[in-house]
Amino acid sequence: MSNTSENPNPSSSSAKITLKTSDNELFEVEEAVAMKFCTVKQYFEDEKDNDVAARGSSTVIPLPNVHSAVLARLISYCKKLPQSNAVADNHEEEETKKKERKQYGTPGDLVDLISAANYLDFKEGLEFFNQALADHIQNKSVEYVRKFFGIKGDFEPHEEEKYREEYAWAFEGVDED
Amino acid sequence: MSHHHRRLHHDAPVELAREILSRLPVKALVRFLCLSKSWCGLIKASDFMKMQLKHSNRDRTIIMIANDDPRQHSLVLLSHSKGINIVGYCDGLVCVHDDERKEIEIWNPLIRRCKRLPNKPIEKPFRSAEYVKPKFGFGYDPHNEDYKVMRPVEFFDGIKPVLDF
Repeated sequence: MSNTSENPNPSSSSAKITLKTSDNELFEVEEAVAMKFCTVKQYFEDEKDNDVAARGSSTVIPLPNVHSAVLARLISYCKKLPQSNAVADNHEEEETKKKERKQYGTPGDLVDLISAANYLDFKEGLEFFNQALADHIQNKSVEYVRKFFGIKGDFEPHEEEKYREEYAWAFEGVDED
Repeated sequence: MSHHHRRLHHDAPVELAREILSRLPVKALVRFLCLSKSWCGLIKASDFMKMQLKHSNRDRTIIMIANDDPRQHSLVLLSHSKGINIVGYCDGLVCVHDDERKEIEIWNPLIRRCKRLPNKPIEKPFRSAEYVKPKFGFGYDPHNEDYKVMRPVEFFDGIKPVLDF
């Protein structure tokens, strides 16, 4: 499958860049989109310096750490990139943003997106997906978060018990794992 | 893409986890202080707090509401006696002055903790100097990266030394 991005305006002359994922899928994306990924941008500019890219759109940029399913979702995110990741001014705006972030799937999906955005040095995407994951874990139990991040609890049981008693309010209203 | 049980620790450096946790509200962070000793230290570190502050304003909004609503006001601030004044608030901290007990407290409603500042007597420039009732100010001092309470004192003979805690 060659993922030629659906361009509603075929006469548009914007340059395309081809990205190759870990599973050898080719994605032809608009330069403006690809340049949001700093890793790609850096690669592209290095190639340009080497005069390779000058021959046209024949350059294929390999992304050995990104799976096609993840790249497809990142590209679709780029296309409807939220105006800004700025902190919402009011409750209503925050709820809208939260809903939008919720569309990006399970924590597992978010982990894939975060890892890819991190590898691609895609700042806005990384911020967005980090916040989406934070939304997901904010009402989770300590045990859930330990498991999720691979953290080993090392407080003495009586120390932890005492802390949980002292700050009982922070342990109220926690979701089931 | 059907590998289940994907967890972040397979490929995420601590920095990423830190970035994610800094986007949590304070209540969740108080809960996660008991994740482990190292995470407790990490969450309590001042640079982490700065990150968290940058990412959140919902929490601060709550403080504003509390101050606008007289009922909330009395609930959170005026529990033990009257004569308590709000000196100011900054980054979600509220500084209050107890006129009767001559005490200054910095209160963090989000973690429900209060810190009482030591009561420093006013140093007179000379023994017979008189002064009017001191006023207080509260704010963040970027130079020392800490919060500060100011107590400008005006002495009768016109000298205005500024003492801070």
